[in-house]
Amino acid sequence: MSTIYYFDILDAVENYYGSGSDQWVEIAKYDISAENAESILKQVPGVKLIKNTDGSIRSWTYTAYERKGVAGSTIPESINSNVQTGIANPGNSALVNVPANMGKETGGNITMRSGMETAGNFVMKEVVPAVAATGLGISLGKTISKAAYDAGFNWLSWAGVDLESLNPETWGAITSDDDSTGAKLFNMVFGIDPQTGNTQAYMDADAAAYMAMYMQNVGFFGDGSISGFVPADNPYNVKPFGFSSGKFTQEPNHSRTYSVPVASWEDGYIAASPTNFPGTIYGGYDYAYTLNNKRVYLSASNGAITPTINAGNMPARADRAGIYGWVMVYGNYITPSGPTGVGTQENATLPDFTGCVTPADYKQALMEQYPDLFNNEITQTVVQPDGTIKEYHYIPVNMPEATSATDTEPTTGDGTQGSPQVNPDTATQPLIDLITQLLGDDATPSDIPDTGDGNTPPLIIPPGTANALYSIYNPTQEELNSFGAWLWSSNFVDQLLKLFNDPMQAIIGLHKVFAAPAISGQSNIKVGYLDSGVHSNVVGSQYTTIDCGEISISEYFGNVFDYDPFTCVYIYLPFIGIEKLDTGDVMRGRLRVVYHVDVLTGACLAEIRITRDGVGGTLYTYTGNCAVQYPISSGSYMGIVASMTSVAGGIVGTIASGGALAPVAMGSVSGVLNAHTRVQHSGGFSGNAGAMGIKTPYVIITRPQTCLADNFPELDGYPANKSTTLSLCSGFVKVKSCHVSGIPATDEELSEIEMLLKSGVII
Amino acid sequence: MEITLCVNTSEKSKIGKNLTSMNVFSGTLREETSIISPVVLMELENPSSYNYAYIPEFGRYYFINDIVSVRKGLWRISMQVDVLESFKNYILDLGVILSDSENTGAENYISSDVWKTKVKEKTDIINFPSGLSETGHFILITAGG
Repeated sequence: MSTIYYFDILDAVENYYGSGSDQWVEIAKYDISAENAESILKQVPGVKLIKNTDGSIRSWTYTAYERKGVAGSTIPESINSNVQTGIANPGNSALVNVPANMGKETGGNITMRSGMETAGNFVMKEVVPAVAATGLGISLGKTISKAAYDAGFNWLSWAGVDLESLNPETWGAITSDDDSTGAKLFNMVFGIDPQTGNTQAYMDADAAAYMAMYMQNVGFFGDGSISGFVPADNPYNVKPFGFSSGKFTQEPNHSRTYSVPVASWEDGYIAASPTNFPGTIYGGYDYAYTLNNKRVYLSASNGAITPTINAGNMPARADRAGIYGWVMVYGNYITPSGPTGVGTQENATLPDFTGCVTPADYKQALMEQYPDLFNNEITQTVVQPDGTIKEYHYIPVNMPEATSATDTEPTTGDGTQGSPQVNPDTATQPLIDLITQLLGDDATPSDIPDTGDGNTPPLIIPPGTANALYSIYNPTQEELNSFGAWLWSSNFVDQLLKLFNDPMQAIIGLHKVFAAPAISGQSNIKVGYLDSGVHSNVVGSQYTTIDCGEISISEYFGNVFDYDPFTCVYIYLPFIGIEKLDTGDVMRGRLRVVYHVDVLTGACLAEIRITRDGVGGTLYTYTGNCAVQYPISSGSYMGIVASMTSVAGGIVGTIASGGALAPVAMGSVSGVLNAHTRVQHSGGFSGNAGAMGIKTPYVIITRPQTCLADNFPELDGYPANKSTTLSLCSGFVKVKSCHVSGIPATDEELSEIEMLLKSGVII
Repeated sequence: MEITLCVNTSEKSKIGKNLTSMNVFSGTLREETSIISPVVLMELENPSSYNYAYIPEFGRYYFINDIVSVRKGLWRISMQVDVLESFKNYILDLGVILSDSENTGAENYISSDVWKTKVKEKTDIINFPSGLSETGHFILITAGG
């Protein structure tokens, strides 16, 4: 075996593999640094590296249509394999696979581990903070309706609180950048219970704590009351009410400075100049305060320089004007009641964030007050380029009702604190659409074909013994040596006996079979009338059966690529060779190989049993010979050589199967153009040649590397053959046939309508 | 008659176009013109920003193909009927058999030209759990016994 150098491996991975988890497996076999692994995988088409804003790695996943996951899963027990999706393609079923985690062993090697350590399978998807935060809010007992957004509530910045600048260090660790829009995204994980189909969303625990901190600061968890310093005397009759106080700075020529959070401003109650401000300015004093480069003027009246606000002349947001005066007078702010449109679920447990300042404080509070969230958390460890391990924890949160993953105004919908999972059967359509969009937008099959039925007749091995005419022994090498020694003994008495009964005449054959014969007992080897005195096992049955076990072949892509001519399946059978199987027969099925061997002649019959959807039988049988003949005389030797020559002549006549020369249905002509020319993998080899071959069957699956454009569904569309009304369609649609009638258009217009429908329209 | 000039930002093949900057102009049709490919003279400031039109009297929507300046303030606007928009409600009620679809009726297991592959392949090997004997068993057959 030639030496494989480290950089040979790197070059091989970079140059050969297209995409998918196969590279990961290959990389994981060799000693490689995390930094090099990152460098290699980043260049592989289809592999997407998710990085946090601060540069740390959050996860590895796949882009576009080819979402490949952990390879080599077994076919689950199912009565209908047609609804199971491919390993690579999440499809619309419950089996959505995740990329494997990259971990580091103590020795420094990169290893691949299975995905999330929970039941079901997950993907990681990006959402805007609004979707994640609304889900968290539901889990923490709050509700949010459209009224909140109509009143101006914004997840990114409100009540003087800016989401990103609240704690920039943590923000960088919990968000990713959307290169196309420049938006900040959260990464969420979604689990689907394979039994119930219920969907569970998970949010990064640190992100959840951060959003809880934001919500606390903007008064999300307020109960409608006003709290804060309310002095017993109120000489200025300033009435604090309404939304939160503001943050503004007194101009330098005044003595008081206030620095408190403030909501966004409306020009209606900020005067551009003293003359525009309702009320009067007394004596030339303009109590000017500046906020965001806008000056706020407060009037004075009755000759006193008091920041009394004449509410009667205030614009509509008098409540805010009152707050400004309150703050200026008393120098503090009041805790707001919370945004309009935010409510509390009945019997919900609300969080208490008293004393919490940092995101770590909020996380600790959540862990203490909502232990179930963290008891049901899932973790993912991801090796970083510097070799360290970073562990991410994801806690379950509710799914909000949102029109899309990028909806900045999601609402509570039907979710409650007590029911975090979403049952697709009962969820509202917007929620289903959101989940579908978050999990993937792969096509839904329009028809589920029938499953098969029936089984092959039972196999009955005939009995095969004829004890009186011949005997079959199964001697060991030593016993055979002893027998040979007796056969050619130079002892006078032995030779005398053999003169009258030539033992060579009674030896019918000697060969080796590669199957354990059925032993019925032991006795001395007798040849004719002579007893050799050599003890040996006696073969009780001419036929024996070897069960080579079972494997399953799952769909990888979950679509047409899993079948001929794209995916080809071959099977190697010992003493027979490599044979091609019909991919349609074996895909989604379990294969079992059983050898039936005639120990007398060495003839073997390989039976391939295929089970799918609970039914199946023997679909393929191949014959060979697993006996290696041993010459015991010159005549027998010549016979062995002659039989080998005739076997070699048989190879020439074997025809390569599959590929462009195979019969192909007319509808798949284009698939033939994509198919590779298939070549013969082996000739038939039996007997003496077969003994030099591999003794364990195996299956060879060749799969294509697909090359689908990211946006082909919108531009080309998936193939379809569905009868429907166009009003029920959306997106790109191309019509195969239709009757353009019932339209009050000219003949030329009708023809154009038909032509356009058949060339593709967008609905 | 009235002509509404507007801006269409949707693809030509879209049913249900996004029309903006709509302005209605009234006038009298003085010459013969086709309802499929009308050419009208309009006194306007500058219609070059418009690319779409609607003529209620004809009951049709139109793509503006060409705008020719006849003289200052007078423009000749050539149009071509947009059948998809003009008859969109009727079209949406049509029953059809789909050939390709982005969403409805999309099928993963039908052969099609969209399924593209590279010339590269990947090969996986799955071994069966067990096989025939690696070393073999001697079989000695003798007559009699």
